Order: sequence, then structure tokens, then C-alpha cells
Amino acid sequence: MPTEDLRAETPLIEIHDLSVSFPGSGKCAPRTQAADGVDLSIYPRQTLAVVGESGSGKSVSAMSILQLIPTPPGNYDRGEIIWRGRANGGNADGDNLLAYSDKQMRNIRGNQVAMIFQEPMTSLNPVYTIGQQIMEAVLLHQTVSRTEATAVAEQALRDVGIADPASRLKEYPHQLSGGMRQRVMIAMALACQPELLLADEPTTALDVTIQAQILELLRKLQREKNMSILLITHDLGVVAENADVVAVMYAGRIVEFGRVETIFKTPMHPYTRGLLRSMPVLGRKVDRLDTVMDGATIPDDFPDGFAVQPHDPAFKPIAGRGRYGGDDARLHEVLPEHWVLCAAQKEDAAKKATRPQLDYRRASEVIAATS
Amino acid sequence: MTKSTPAPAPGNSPQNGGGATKPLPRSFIGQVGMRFAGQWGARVGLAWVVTLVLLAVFAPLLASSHPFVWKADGEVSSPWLEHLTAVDAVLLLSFATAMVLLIFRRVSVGARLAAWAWLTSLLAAVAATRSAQQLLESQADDGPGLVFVLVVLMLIGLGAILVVLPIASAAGGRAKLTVGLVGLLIGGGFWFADVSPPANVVYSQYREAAAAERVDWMVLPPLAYSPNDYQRDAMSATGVDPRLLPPTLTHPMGTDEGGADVLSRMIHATRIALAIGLIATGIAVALGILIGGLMGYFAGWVDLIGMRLVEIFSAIPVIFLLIMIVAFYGRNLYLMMVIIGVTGWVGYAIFIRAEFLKLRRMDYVQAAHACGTPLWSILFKHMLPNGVTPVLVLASFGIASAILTESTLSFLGLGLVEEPSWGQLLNQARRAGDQWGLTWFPGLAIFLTVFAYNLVGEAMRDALDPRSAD
Amino acid sequence: MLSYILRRLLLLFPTLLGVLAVVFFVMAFSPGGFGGTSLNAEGAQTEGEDARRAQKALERRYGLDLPKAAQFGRWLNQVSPIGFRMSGDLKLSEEERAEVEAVFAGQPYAARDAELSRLRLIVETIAGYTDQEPLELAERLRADLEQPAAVLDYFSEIDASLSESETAELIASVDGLKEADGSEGDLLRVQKKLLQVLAFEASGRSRIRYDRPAFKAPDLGQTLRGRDVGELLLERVPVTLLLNLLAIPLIYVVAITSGLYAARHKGGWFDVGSGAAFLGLWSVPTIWAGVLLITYFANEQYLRWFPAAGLHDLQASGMAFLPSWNEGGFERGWLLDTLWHLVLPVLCMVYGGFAVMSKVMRGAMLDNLSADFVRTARAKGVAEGGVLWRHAFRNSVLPLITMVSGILPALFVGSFVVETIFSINGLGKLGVEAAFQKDRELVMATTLIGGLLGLTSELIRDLCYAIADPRVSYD
Repeated sequence: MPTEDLRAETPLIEIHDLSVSFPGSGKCAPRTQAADGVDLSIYPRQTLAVVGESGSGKSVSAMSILQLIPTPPGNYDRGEIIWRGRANGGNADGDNLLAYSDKQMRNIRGNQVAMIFQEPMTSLNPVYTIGQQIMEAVLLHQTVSRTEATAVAEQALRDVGIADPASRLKEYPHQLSGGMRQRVMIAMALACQPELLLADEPTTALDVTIQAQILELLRKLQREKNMSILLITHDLGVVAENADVVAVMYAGRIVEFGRVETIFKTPMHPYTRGLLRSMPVLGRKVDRLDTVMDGATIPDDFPDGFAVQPHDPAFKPIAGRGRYGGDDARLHEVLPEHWVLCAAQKEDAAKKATRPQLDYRRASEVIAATS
Repeated sequence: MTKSTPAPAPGNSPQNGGGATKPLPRSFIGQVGMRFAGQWGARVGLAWVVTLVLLAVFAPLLASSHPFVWKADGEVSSPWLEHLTAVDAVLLLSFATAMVLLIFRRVSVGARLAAWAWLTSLLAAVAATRSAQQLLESQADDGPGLVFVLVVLMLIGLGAILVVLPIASAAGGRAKLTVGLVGLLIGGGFWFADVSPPANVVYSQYREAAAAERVDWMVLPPLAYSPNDYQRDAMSATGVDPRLLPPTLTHPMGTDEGGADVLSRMIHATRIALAIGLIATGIAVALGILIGGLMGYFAGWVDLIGMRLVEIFSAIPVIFLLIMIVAFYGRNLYLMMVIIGVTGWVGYAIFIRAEFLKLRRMDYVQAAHACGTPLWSILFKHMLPNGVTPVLVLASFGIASAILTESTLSFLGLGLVEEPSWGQLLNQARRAGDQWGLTWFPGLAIFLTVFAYNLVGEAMRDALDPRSAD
Repeated sequence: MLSYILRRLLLLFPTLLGVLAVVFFVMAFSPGGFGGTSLNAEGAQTEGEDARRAQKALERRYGLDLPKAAQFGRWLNQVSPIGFRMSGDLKLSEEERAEVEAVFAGQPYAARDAELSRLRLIVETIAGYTDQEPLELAERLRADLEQPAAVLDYFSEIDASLSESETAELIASVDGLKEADGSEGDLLRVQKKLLQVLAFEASGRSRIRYDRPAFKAPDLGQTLRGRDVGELLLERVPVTLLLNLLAIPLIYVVAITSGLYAARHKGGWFDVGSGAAFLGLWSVPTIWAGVLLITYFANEQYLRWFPAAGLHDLQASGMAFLPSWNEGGFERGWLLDTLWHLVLPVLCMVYGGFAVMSKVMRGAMLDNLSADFVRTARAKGVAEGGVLWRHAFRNSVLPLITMVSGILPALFVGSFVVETIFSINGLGKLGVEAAFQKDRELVMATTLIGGLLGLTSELIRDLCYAIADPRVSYD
């Protein structure tokens, strides 16, 4: 089975116990914990979707990978981001990105890890042409002449399906439509052939037809270029269609991690369930859509326990008040390849508190990638 | 370990910093007002402006050569009262009314404000007609310009009465009647009271009388020198040239070129500074709103012509035009105010135009239009309140620049001759020599006043800017 | 782009016309009118008959008997490079000249060439003055010269005002001419007098000759004291330009540096300190700053570091351009001397500007540093320097460009005050003096230059903006 073979691979990137905080509002307010012990891993050619509502720490986690969070006011409290798996004895150049110097980091940014943002309208510099902005990245990371860089930029535009790329290169962002700009952003991100693409809600600001086009484009490019995608979204439809693995985030923590089918079919964490129930279903008539918290209750005090399916007395999923999930709540591999945030009640159960590593691609993707 | 509230993502949490704990007033204006009052800049600025207002109102009480009361040659009299000018009286009475109205807590602020404005304009109108009458009696053929100004002032006063009275009526029938009666009483009393000081004032008479021991007792103001008291007697009485004396105890800021007390002149000059700032900016704002509003509402060719007007007026340096007008038309405070106002509307007009261009597409404006609301009402009742708040910021800076302009003109020697003004005092500083009081105090006064208005403007801008909330 | 510039240039003219009209009519409708303080050629106050004459001459010079709008048109015609000729521009053509000479030929008093040329000049002058045909005029003048009373009538006809003493003198000399019958000495005197009177009257360019409009030299006219306005401006404008050209780069350099630094270290000591200091500095009136600077830095009593007035030392014209050492020791030279004189005035002009600009710069930088496209640039791997300069700074310059046009006229106004305080003979001081003297030509010329300066700076601003910001379209 191909899946077995791929399992031998090391994760491309592994985030462990990442904590990022910002100053709270007001003078003496405690710092706001935007990411609170996030554990993640992405394998080559895998699409990991991070789902959660606004402010759950999705973007912060992604931006931490590139260290794009301004410090101050932000601060990296704890954790490590391991690029190309040091822990598993993989590549020699694997290392902790958080410990990288600024110069080392710049070599990663745009080159090995690229990022596209939610707002294509404002994410491009209004005073430079498309060409200049794409070429800037190319010239930074590759030793090429300007003419070669122009060719690369042109090819990048062609790759993202922009007609007449040569003349588009000379245009300014304001001359393009929103969908076109997002294509340009993708072209810019992919111009240097990164191994990992961080897509921070790439389609949120676009209208539905354009959304579909952009996602299709991302899938196509992923197949062609063999890259991994960290897809941040709060659109479950997008997740269902695109992701291999899903990480559900809430209040700065990963609350559930697993295969996309597993998460959609047998969600365990009440928050995930709430999230799924809040999604309208076509053809089903309801008086009132459920909100996320209809499935659970308010975040600060979930009931002392909630049902983990199947019932397993070894885990007490939620403990304590105040800090959601409790201080000792960890991601536990409750079922094989299914991690849920909960607190272990027995000692052998605690052994299941592992880092989520899930080398899985959906069949169609795997076939496409290996063929 | 820090306590984790449900973490809002950084950057997109427009939460009000300190205000998060206390409940905010609902309305936008209320929030802005609270943010404004919470800033030290606003407090300091407003404090200084209030100080200036007090100085302006009480100038004759603070600095005057005339004794409040004295007994000379066996007779008790009040030269101070005899020499009180109409302006002095209007200011003092108006202030007194304001204080009295402050007591009536039950009446709404708007009604009290309206009543105060009504009473003040009544007083001003009475004073103006009275002065006009005296002027016509004394010099029947000369000075049609001044009479014109006075007639205009009267008309403004009457207009204010007509506009304000209906608003004051909101206070209720009895209050309205009371306010009206009190106003008529004060006004009538004012008319019959002789508020015309003798034309030629001999300031030295009190000192000479005292020196000749003709005075039994007298009560003098804290600073016993009028702004125009040039101490003509000092040379013969003490043998000291009273001109350009450095600060001493008797003259805390020294004396000027003519021998007048600088502090006294500075106190009396607050009136010009405040008046020119408020009136000139008032005219400019009114014109700007009118022209800008029309441009923005009608757009098209009205806008095109308006923009050319804007260009013309922004291409003429105001101060140059002013210098020219003063040179060609003579020195006149009212004219100066009007000119600063007439040339200063451009900024407000551009702003209101942009705002109205946006607003005219709004549904509620279209709706008002569809309901057959008259144009006047659409412009000023429906559109203006939605676009006017930031104009206040501009106006605050406008007042500062009007004060600067007036002092610059006076500095260049184009201001009023007899009336004291800060700029005119500063002008003398160039020839002051040892009199460092002239170098520092008038300049400091201009600086502080301009600074105060700028601080208020900045604070207002910050309060209006939602980004500054955190 | 080109059509945009052209359109803007075309729009510039109505505006300039409007500015000039406002200033002109403000003067024209003033109760005193132009030159209300009648000054004679020496600039002294005149009285009685002389005053009346001078006033009359002024009236004719400015065409004050015309309707006010026509006066304005006349001034515009005078300034415009294309227009109708005015009497002062009138020169007889060769043919006309020959005709005139023919009329005088054979006359006993015109025997000598010098006399002939003088007479011709009279004809030219009067022809320009009264719109008469030169030939007719020459014949009439020849006839008149034989009848002195008619000469006087003639003068009254063209409204040349002579004082009583002058009239008597003229009658006497012309009478003498008749008695002596051919004695050339007296005739010479008459003609001299005629010339003097006519030259004085005509110096004030009278009527426009409505030929076909033609190219001509634009003429800014003469000041009340008879100086050529154009010449005067050529003398003064460079001084003001020098002040502004020193001030503007200084403002920008200081504003950009401090604004950048404050934005980079937001909330730091420099940011907080400079924020408060600049708000204060912005409120310091120029007049006070000037007085303080002069009192404390250019005064024997305190520090005599800088000169208090003027642009050059008295001996500056004798100095070498560059500093040098010679027998007398160090000589600072013309350049250094000028710079030394400029320190205080320029300081006085810039502080307000950079207070405002640096605030704007800081605000723009802060906005842009947190903008999405800066995050994109960082994500691309652009180094911090590149992010700062190529992305954030490049966008922050835009509001500064908008402010140039605000600052140029402001500096022009600022130079009124600064030039007056520091007694520098620049355009600003000239404008103030012109207004004080009610000198119409000078006021109008200053307005013209000032208005042109303001409008061109606005045009340059818009062009710069259009170049710097691709989002601005030229349409």
C-alpha cells in the first residue's frame, strides 16, 4: 500500500508546544495567549487544514512559522518549529526555525516556505508593478539575471492561469480584479518553488466562483510542484474538499487532529461537533442554524466531562475552569490517528499524549502525486 | 502562566483600552466626548482658553488706572464705573448672565445656552445701536464705514434674537416669559445707563491727585494702570523715563515704548486674540460649509466653478491679501476678522464637499429627496450633522492660525494703533533693549494660545479617530 | 500624460486670472485708490499744485478715468506677451518718420538736425499719447509752434497739467520766440520744456492702441517711484528663491529622518519626546522665534554669533567667492558670508515646516509598516532594510508629496515675515512694502509672481504624485 511507504517519510515541518502571546488591552491586563501550546505536523505533499473561528490562533501559528509576528508587541513564549524533522533523524539541515537568525530566516521565507494572505486587495504593494513584486522574490532567492527573473515571473503568472503574462507583468495591482490579484499572490509565492505554502484564508475575500477557481488552482499546483499546503480557513466546505488532515483550533489550542474523513464523520471534541453542527446542510430546513456553542457551551466552562466516542474512562476530556481545557489537557491519541485535547485520567492513558503526526493523503491526491 | 481569555487575534480587536471596564455612553458623540475629555492635551488646552476668557471678561477689573471708588476733594465717586466702555459692560453682563443661568440645573443645557445667546445678543445690539446713535450725533457726515459696521452688527443681533428665541421656547412658557422679561429689563437698563466714557481720559489725574494729597482714600484695581495709560506724568513726578522699563514690582512685565504697562496691555489684548480667533473662524466655517455643501450636493458644474474658487483662494496667501487690505482700506478690527474669515473657508469647503459627495449617494438622503424634503433641509438637517464633526477639528486649528495671522499683522505694524495687541507688543521687542519683558511675555502669550488651540484640535482629532482608541 | 499636463496648464490660467482679479479689484475699490499717498519722483510727499499734478499723472498712467474693469484689462494687456500696443511701445515706422521730416523740412527753426530729431520725438510721443495720425500731428504742431497760445490750448486738450509757473514760463519763452523771430536759443528752451512735460506725462503709458494684437515684450510697468518693476523683481526673486531652496530640502531631510526614526521606535523616548516637542514647535509663532533669535544670537548684549539683518556684509561685494587667507588673516568670502547671514532666517522658516511634516511622516510610516503589503514583503524574505525603504518608505512619501504644495506658498508667506524681521530684500518684503505704498504695479507684479509660484507648485505636486502613485490616473 502506498500509504505504508509514505509513512516512512519525516514530517516537513513540526510545530511543538508553540506559544505566542500579545500584550493584553489595558495596562495591567494579562498577556493574551494567541497560541497556547500548539502541536502540528505537515508531511510532504500533504494538505493540512487548520479550522477555527476568528481569533483562535490559526493565523498566528502560521505566521510564527515564518516569524512574521512583530516582536514586540508579540512574543514567542515557548515551543519549537522543526523544519524537515530533526527529531526523527531526518535531514541534516533540519532545525528549529524559532532559533534561526534573521538572515537564516530570510532564506526560508519566500524560498522554502511561502505564504499567501487573506486580503489580495491590500497584500500587494500599490506602487510597484506585478512584475517588480514577483521578481523581487526571485532575485532575492535565486542567482539569476533580471531577464531570467522576468522569465521566471512570466512563467509563474502563466502557471496560475493568467493570460498574456508578459503584459500583465507591467500592470499595477489596482488594475487587476480581486481574483486576479490572488492569482498574482499565488504566483509570487510559488515563483521560488517553495516546499510549503502557507495559505491564510486565501479565498475568504473572494466571491464564490472565484473561490472555487483559486482552490482548484492550488490543488493543481500542489500536484505539479509537490508541495505541502497549510490551509487556514473557517470554511468547512473548503476543508472537506481540499484537506487531507484537519486540525481544529480553539482559543489558541489544537482541540482535535485527524484525517479529514474521521473529523467529519466522528468528531469527538464538543467544539468540533459544535463547529460541524453549525454548518448548514443543503436541503435540510431548519428554523434556526445552530451556533458553534450550541454543541458545547461557553468556552470557559465546558461541563466537567464530555462524551468521547467511544466512551473510554481513561480520558477525562476537560478539566478545570478558567483556562479552557485545563492546564493539564494535552492532545491524546484517543483512537489511532485521532488526537483530541483532553486530560488523561490513568497513567497508561497519559502515554498516549503524543505529538500529532499523521502521514496521510487522500486517495485521489496520492495517486495523482505518485503517478 | 498567564490567564488565557478566549484569545482575540492580535490586530483585529478594536477594543477600547481603558474604557473596556467602564460602560461607554452609547452615542458616537458621547464616546468621542469622553475620549476627548480623557486626554491631558485637551484639558490643558481648554484650561488655558478658559483662563483667557476670564482675563478678557475681567480685564477692566484687573488692570485699570481708574480707582473703583475714591474720595477726592471730599466727594465719594467711582471713576472706574464712569469709564466703563460699552464693550466692558456687555462682556461683564453677559458673563454674569451665564453664571446665573448655570444655577438653573433643571432647564436643559440647550435652552440655557439659547437664553444666554439671546441675552448677550440683545445686550450687544443695544450697545451697538447706542454707539451708533452717539456716533451719528457727534460726527454726522464722517465715518459711513463705521456706521455700516454697526448697522450690520445690529442686524446680526436681531437675527440672533429671531433665530434663538424659538429654541429658547423649548424651555417652556413660563421660563420663556421670565427670560424675555429679564432680558428686556437688562437691555433697557443698559440703554438708559450712561455707558459712554469721556472721550479724553486723563489717566494721570489719580496719581497727581494722590500726590497732591487731595485724596482721602481710594480702592484701586490690582494693577493700577490702564492699557493706554502712558504715564505722561512720570517724568515730572519721579524723574524716571517710564518707557521701556524692565519688569519690576509695580510693572510686573515692564513698560512698553510709549510708557504703558505691558501686563495691562497683555490682559486687555486677550479680547482681540479671542475675538479674532472665534469670529474669523466662525465666518470661515459658515462660508466653508455653505460653499462646500453646495459643491458636494450638486456636483457637476457647480462643483467645477467652486473648485476654481477654491483654487483661487488657496493661491492667494491670506496674509498678503490682509496686508493689502489693511494698507488700502485702513486698520479695522472687524474688517480684519471678516477678511480672515472670507479667505479661510477653503479648507472647510474642501472637507465638507468631499463628505457631501459621499453622503449624497446615501439611501437616507435619497429617501429625504424622494419625500419632497426641501433642499435646505436635506443639506443642513440630514447631511450636515453626519459630516460636520471633523470640521470642529479643523476649526480648532483655524482659530490658532487666525490668532497667528492677527499677531503677525500687528507685528508688521498693520494692526490697530490704540488697542493693545500681543503682536504689536512683540513688534516693540525688536527695539526693546534691556526690556526683556517685551521679548518674552507677548510671544509666550501668543505661543501658549496657539498651542492650546492646537492641543484641543489634536485631542479632538484623536478622539474622533477610531484607530487611536487603543 | 502630455495632455494631462497641457490641460492642467490651461486650467492654471483662469485661476491665475482670478487671483489677479481679486487682488486688483480689492485695490481698485478701496476708498483711497492707487497711490493715495502721492509721492513724487523722489519718493517724498508732495503738496498743493505739485500733488495735484502728480495725482493727475498717476491717474493717466493707470488710466484711472476708465471703468475699473477696463483698467484691469489694460493692466492685463500690458503684462501679456501678446496684446495691443500701448503708447509707450509706439515707434514710428520709417515711412512715417520720413513724412514727419518732410513736414518740418524747410522750416527755419528746424534747420539743424538735432532740432529736427527733437521735434520728431515730440510728434512720436504725442502721437502715441492721443491716437492721432503722426502726419496730421506734425502739421498741427508746426502750425502751433508759431502760435504759442495754441500750444497751450493743445496741452489743455490732451490734459497735460502744467503748474502755473510753468505755464508762465512757457508763454514767456514762446512769446520771446515770436518777438525774436528765428532766435534759436529760445526755441530750444521751449522745445526742451515741451519734451520734459511730455516725457513726464507719457512715462505713465497712456492709452492702448487698438491695432491688431501682436507679440510684444511683457511689461510689468513701473513703480510709483519710477523704477522698472521687472528689474526690481529680478533683483528680489532670487533672494526669496534662495531662502526657500535652502529651507525646503532642510525641512524634508529633518522631517523624514525624525519621522522615520520615531516610527521605527514607536513609543520610545525619541518618539514621545519629538512628538511633544514638535507639537510645541509647530505653535511657536514665527515672529516670536525671529525676535528671540535676533535678541539672543545676534545681539551685542548676549551672543553676537550671527548678523541681525541683511543678506551680505557691506564689504561682501569686495570679497572673493570662496573663503581664503590673505594678509588680513582669514576672509570668509562671499559664499560663506551669505550662508552666515542666512542661518537665522532659514532656521526661522523651517522649524514649523518640519514639525508638521515629521508628524505626517511618522503617521504614514506607522500606517504602512503595519500594512498587509509589508507583511507580504517580509513573507517573501525581503530584508528589514528593503522592507523599510522599498516598501514602507516608498508608500509613506506620497502624503509628503501632497504637502509640498501646501508648504511652498506657506514658505512664500513665511518669507514675508522672515524677510521683514531680518531685513532681507526679498520678494516677501517687496510685497509688504508695495502694499504699504499702495503701489499698484508692484502689488500686481508680486501677486503675479506669488500666484504663479503657488499654482506651479500645485501643478508640480500633482505631477509628482501622478508619477509616484500609479493609482492616480491622468484623466
